[in-house]
Amino acid sequence: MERQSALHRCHLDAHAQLQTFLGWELPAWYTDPSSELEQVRASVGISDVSYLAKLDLRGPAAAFPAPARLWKLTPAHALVTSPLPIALVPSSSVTDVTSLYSAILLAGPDSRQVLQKLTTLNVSTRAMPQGAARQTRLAHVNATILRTEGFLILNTRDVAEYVWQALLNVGAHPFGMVAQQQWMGSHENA
Amino acid sequence: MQQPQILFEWNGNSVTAKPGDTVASALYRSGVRIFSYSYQYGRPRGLLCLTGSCPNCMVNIDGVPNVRSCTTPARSGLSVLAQNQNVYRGFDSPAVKRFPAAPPLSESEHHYQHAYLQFDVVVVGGGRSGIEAALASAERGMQVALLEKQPALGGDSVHPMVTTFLNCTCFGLYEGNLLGAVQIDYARPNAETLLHLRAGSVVVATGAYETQFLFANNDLPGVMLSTAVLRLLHQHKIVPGKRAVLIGDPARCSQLQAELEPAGAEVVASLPIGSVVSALGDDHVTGVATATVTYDADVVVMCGPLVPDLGFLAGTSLESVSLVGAAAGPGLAYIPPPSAQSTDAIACLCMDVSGRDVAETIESGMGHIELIKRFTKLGKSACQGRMCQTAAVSLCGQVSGQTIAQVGTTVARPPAPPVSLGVLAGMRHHPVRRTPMHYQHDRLGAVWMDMGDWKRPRYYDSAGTRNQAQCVEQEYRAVRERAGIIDVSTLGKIEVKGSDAGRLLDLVFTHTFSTLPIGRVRYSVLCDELGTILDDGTISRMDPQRYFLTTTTGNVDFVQQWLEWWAAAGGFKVNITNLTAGLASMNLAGPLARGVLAQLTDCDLSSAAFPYMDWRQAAVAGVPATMMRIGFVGEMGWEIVVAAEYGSHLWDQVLEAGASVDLLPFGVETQRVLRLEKKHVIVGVDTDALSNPYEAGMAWVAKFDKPDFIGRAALLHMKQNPLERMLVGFEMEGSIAPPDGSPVLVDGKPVGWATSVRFSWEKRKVIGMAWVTPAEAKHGTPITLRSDAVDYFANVVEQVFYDPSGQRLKM
Repeated sequence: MERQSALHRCHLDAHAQLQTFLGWELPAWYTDPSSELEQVRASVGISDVSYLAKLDLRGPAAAFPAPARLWKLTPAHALVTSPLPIALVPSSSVTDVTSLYSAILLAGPDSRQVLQKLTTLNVSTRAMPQGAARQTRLAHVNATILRTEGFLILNTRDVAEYVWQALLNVGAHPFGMVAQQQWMGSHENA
Repeated sequence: MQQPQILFEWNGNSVTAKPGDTVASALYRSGVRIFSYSYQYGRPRGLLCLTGSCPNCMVNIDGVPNVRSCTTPARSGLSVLAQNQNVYRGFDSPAVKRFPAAPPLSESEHHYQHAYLQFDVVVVGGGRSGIEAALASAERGMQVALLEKQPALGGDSVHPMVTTFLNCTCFGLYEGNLLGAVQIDYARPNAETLLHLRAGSVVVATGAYETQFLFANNDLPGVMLSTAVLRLLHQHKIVPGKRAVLIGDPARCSQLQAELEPAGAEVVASLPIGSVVSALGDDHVTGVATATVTYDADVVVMCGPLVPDLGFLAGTSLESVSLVGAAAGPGLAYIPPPSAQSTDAIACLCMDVSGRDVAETIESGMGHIELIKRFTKLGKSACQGRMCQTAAVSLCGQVSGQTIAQVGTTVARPPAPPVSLGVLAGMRHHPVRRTPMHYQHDRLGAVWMDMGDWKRPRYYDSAGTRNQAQCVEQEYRAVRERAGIIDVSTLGKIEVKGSDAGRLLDLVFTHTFSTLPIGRVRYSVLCDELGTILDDGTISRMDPQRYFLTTTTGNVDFVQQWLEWWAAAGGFKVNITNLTAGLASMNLAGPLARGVLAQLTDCDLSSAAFPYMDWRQAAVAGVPATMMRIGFVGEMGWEIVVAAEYGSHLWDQVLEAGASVDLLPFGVETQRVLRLEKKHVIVGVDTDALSNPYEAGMAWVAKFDKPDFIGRAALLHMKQNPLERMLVGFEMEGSIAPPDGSPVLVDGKPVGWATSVRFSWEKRKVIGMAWVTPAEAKHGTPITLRSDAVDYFANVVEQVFYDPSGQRLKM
């Protein structure tokens, strides 16, 4: 059974071409991948990365092998994100929160201008270098913002569509999985 | 190459503007001299300051009133209408000149937004001193913001560390070096951004504004401040007149003369302020009179006192900011107005307050500057006192024989200058929380209700042709007679795990959970130390060290905090996670529910294998699910919980499997009727902030078989003492259902209120629950509900209205 993103309806409404990616039904593209990629590189785009596995860790953070990334929220609370499913050992200090959070990748040179319209958080590179994780408010709802090559925005699923729309309203353009993979590939090489 | 022509409309006539023109400069060039009529007396007003300080040039642009034409760039296609300075109808008379009434306000196109920015240094004012300050800070490695209210800086500033904001006016400095500023994008109508700037330090380089002198007819069109004349000359290449009289400081007058004469204007005279008696003219200045001489002139220029432009700092300590340039200059200057001549002068342009008005106010005993402001309205309008403060203080000092320092100034508060309400409101951000089955409901014709930010179906009306009662009855019958399904994903879902999970739940809930067998579900109540009901829900034991809790929709965040508080207080080893949005849950209920669910799962659903208040995990419709056999609506039923991403799939599958028995989705309103027949209390609807389990008819939840839990002592006390009020059921005698919350009366005296009133198809009567005093709690007691001054009669019913033995839950 394919897993349905919290943004499924947003993608349908935008006439996205859907494809299955790691078990999730996600947009391959909306218009065409190359112009979407161009848009992200020139200004700012948002992409649905619901397929990311997410773990909530309490207590001292354990190490997770790449490509998983560990994000420290507080000294005793961390998140793990991974583009590949993580084998989970049942434990009282680890909770799989993949279904709980929607994940939106905000990318492109104007990403900061988009965030600055929706959050009081200081998102400058100096205040929030790569690897930084912040729990904050975005467009009046709770959000966890992770600084990757772009910004990874996690919200509880119930407000995902609302946040997606808020990001569109302040100038972000949606881009699909094809452009997303190319964008990520180019940033890994960089 | 020819510049594209700018054409806009002024009162329906076409006006041509040059590149770089403001609306005001283009109008002035085209011959417009009267820009507005004054508030009280309808006096004509023309350009005065040209810096956005005075009220004279305010116009209506594209439907937005009170726009200063002198700071608004001219753009093709603008529709500009003249307006009176303040649209106050009280003084209108045929004798008073007015522009036609402005069109009524309507919602026009707008692009309001906010931005939150952080800088080491924020420099307010992009003149020479501001640019110097910005560059000096940038060279020391600081991130600098430079705010300039004009469309261009007063010089060059190119430094990678300096971010320049043009057309950006700072209106207030607040605690923690938070600056509020509005940046206008003139390319679109009403495109304004409210900048929230956090500054490490603030440099104020706003300069000074010029203010007027007092003499008779000082407000005539053609009487201008030197700032206006210099801007017309230098920025717009307009010579404001042929014959000029200059008034004021001789040094500044001679400087101005050196600018005017090469441009082709003759300077007829330069007069000290004390010698001017009156400006002459009707709709425009024609000359200036001193006590002895009359000069012909078509422009009169006041080199007025300069006042540091610090309005946005009102209410803050100047010690927290650095003042540079003219902004650091001396404060209010004293204008020495000859008393005989100044009485006819207009001190406050916005409100038409004359020198005589001020003098008479002081003479009648209101000599304090704040009293003068309140009595005359001086300083209370669009220019926020910029044009009148100096004059008022001077007049007050002159009449009362005080110095400027003794007179003082009125209390100012930001925002200064004014800010549109639209940009303060910003973009519309109204969060909406949707369940994973939201669009399934939408397709089924859900009539929505708001529960906090959640959207829930109140009931479904797929055809869109029926009323609420018809829809609810149909859904009700499906659940009671066949099967129904309701989306309960909004209910709070919390996971509590860890070696102390059982101990924590024993402490916070009234029941014992450390001994609950794995596979069982238990309903319980959460009380505070006073025995007050905080919330209720089910608790399932999933593993020895893992429990799954449900809460009411609105209380999940509170319950999570409550649990975390007590876990921390007791040093319990637990982890508490709110999983609400990560799980889709739906309640399948009704006598035929088992047959529906059996089509979707291999799990043995018989009561022998899966009894009431048990849970099982199994694949349902091909996805991993937890099923809890519970029954809020009073029928055999299962709450099915799956990962959110499978919610819509499962919902569709249940509807498909239920089609053969005519299963229907049901909404919150139907659920409320179903549970009311069972007298199941909804915390927060039937209970209030003081209700306890004994009053609410839930004495059975108080379990004294464990040594302690929160509220135990209070509950024990309640058990042993008489109650003050009770929640009881009732049946109405008539067929009308008074609204929830209607007061309950006995012998004409209020004794409580009805919490829920609905028509029951089971009883074929209106039933409800109400708070009453214990004297009325006995079966059969007549009570009265009052609504809109009409009395409705009812009788207290002790028994549960539907299936009192609870047999149907356990079939």
